[in-house]
Amino acid sequence: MPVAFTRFPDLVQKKILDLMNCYDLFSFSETSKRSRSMSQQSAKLHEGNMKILYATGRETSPDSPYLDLTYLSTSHSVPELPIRLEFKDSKFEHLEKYLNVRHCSLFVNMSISMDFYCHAPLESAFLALEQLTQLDYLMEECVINSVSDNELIVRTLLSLKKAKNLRLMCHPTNDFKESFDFKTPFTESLENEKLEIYSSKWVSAWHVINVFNRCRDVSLSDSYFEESEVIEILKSWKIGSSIQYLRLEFVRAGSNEDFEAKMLEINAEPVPEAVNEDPNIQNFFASSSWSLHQDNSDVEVWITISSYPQNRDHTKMPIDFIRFPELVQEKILDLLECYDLYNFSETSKWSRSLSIRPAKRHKGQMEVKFSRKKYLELTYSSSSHPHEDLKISLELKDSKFEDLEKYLSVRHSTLFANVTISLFYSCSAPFDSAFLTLNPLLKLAQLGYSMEKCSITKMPVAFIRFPDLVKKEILDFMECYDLYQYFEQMPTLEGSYFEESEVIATLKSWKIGSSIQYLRLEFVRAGSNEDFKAKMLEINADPVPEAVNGNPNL
Amino acid sequence: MAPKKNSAKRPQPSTPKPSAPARIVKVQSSDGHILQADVRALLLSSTLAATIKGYDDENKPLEKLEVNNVVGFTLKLVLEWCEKHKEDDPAIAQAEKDKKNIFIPSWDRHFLTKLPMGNLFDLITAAYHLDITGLINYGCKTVANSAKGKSTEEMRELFGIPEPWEQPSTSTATWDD
Repeated sequence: MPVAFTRFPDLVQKKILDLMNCYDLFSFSETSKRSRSMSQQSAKLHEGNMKILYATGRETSPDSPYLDLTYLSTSHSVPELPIRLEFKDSKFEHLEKYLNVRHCSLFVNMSISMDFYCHAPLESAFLALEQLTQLDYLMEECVINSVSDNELIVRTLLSLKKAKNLRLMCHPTNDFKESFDFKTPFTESLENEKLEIYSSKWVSAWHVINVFNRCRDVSLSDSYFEESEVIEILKSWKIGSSIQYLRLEFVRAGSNEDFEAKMLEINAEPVPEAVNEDPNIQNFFASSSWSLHQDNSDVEVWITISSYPQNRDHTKMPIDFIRFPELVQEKILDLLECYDLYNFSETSKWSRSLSIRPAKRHKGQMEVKFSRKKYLELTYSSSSHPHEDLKISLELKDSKFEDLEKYLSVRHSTLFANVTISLFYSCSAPFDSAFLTLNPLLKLAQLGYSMEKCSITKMPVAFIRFPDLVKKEILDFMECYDLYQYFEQMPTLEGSYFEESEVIATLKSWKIGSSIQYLRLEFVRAGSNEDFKAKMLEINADPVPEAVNGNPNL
Repeated sequence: MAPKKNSAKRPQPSTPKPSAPARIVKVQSSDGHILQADVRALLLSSTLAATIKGYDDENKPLEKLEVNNVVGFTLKLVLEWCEKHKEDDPAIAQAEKDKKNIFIPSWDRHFLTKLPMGNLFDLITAAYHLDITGLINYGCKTVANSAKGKSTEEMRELFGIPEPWEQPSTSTATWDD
């Protein structure tokens, strides 16, 4: 027997949709125009990433390429089996269909990332890349690995010029200087927020000035610039460029003093203390720093020169980590679990700064669950390093959860900017211990972590008997608190709706200043419709009759 | 929410292709040692593969390859590893290149963990210079494994990072803590 969905109360409908996984919600949204608009709020709750892998080398047909689409959700439990698409008739069949289902425009908080492992023939890789870019989705993280190929370098950079983060790991051919023109094809600037080129021998000052000038972070590994090119880049940056971070390698033309003189000529000011203070300086051998101001703006950058000494005499090193090439250092740190990465970052200032980028690649969620049995359960689910899932239970002893701070600091230090905390609190303790059981909440707030989701069910009856200050402190840190749920499920407030006067007072207060963009509540009318309309007009609310039909949030 | 399960599948070695007759060439290290290797093993190095292709394209006989930045002992280790993996599908190593959960097969685990740290360091650095993706993957994972579960203090010891009070403060080195 069918369920008359639309006859459910609004809040029940919303709850049902909130609980659907993204595929089901997408299917629901396609059933009618109204379903589509109803699905919008719930779709915003879905957060995750669709990873697209391009590779060749299956057992059955080793040369034929394939695409694997894998969706990882950080907000909902969804089937994670990858979908494999075969390459047929010069394209990947059903690519558009699957991307629509798994990543339609409804799910604004879902992103796409891709890994391409290109081997000959490269044409299918280009076709896939172009097919993907034509769909016009926001590309979050794109990693392109390939055998040496000059044309692939150019075509990839141009095809993915709007990808947020682009990492290109492709060498030019040995004879690229004689056989390939790396300038003419670049007729427009790239717009990547972060561009990492792992083999940058082909990159010249012209590229930095004319092609990468609209990027934000640019890392050029294995690059060989002349000193004069560096000065040319800096001069051009002063005139105007969006680059905020640039890393490159160059060969000194003369002595330190000669270089210093050239820097002074372009009005760069020495900042000796930067070497010790700038967390972005990622190696031990930083020797000198300057600050440079952009003309006609307030933008200032620090320029740091690092020289690698040929012979170092730091003995007692079982493995000379610092002497690994930078990419190997980063690769090793990428392979560390977050506990170990945290410990490594604590070994020195250099280690800390070296750990920043690998730490950002850790994505996951720490769930903190408090249950009536008075223990805290910390569950870490990593979406980037899948082998790292972990569960820890902390017991309540002497009015506190021992080692809570230690575990949270290690698993979720400020280094791990993409690891979020969600809090699930369920308790129906008597008043005497209510404050005690709320301690972990206050503790988390004091640690200054950002809370992603907070679900509070069975809040102690005694909550409303807390002093106002304590109530405010608890509610203040629940940034994403679902107001409806709070009032709906707090036993003492069940059935006691707002007064009309309270609603008017709330609206007046909102007019003065509030961050609330969406508020849903229930109240009891004090008089007739006309009385209420009069009160609304009093606070300068204008009637908008057409909103009832035109507002998709209704 | 239930913890995410690892959806990434471990790459399986493909069925070995029928073996072609071995083509042996000499390889000379930076300190003059001359070793012999099967070309198929050398092709695992993108750097050497490009050189070999250059010879083949010009129909020049390939008598000796010079590897100027790797010493004999390390080169021998590199060739031993490449010989073992010459039948592998390169797509496997490429597919693992950017993964965070690299699986080290038992032969490689034994090969890499028996090495003293100094030799392991040289081997990984050589793999980097010769651009051997699989060896870089397994080498880096071995180093990462050796750091597993270590405290800050133990990591300083493992990676040769001096105590804050031992860190030199010269104009070129800032171990500043």
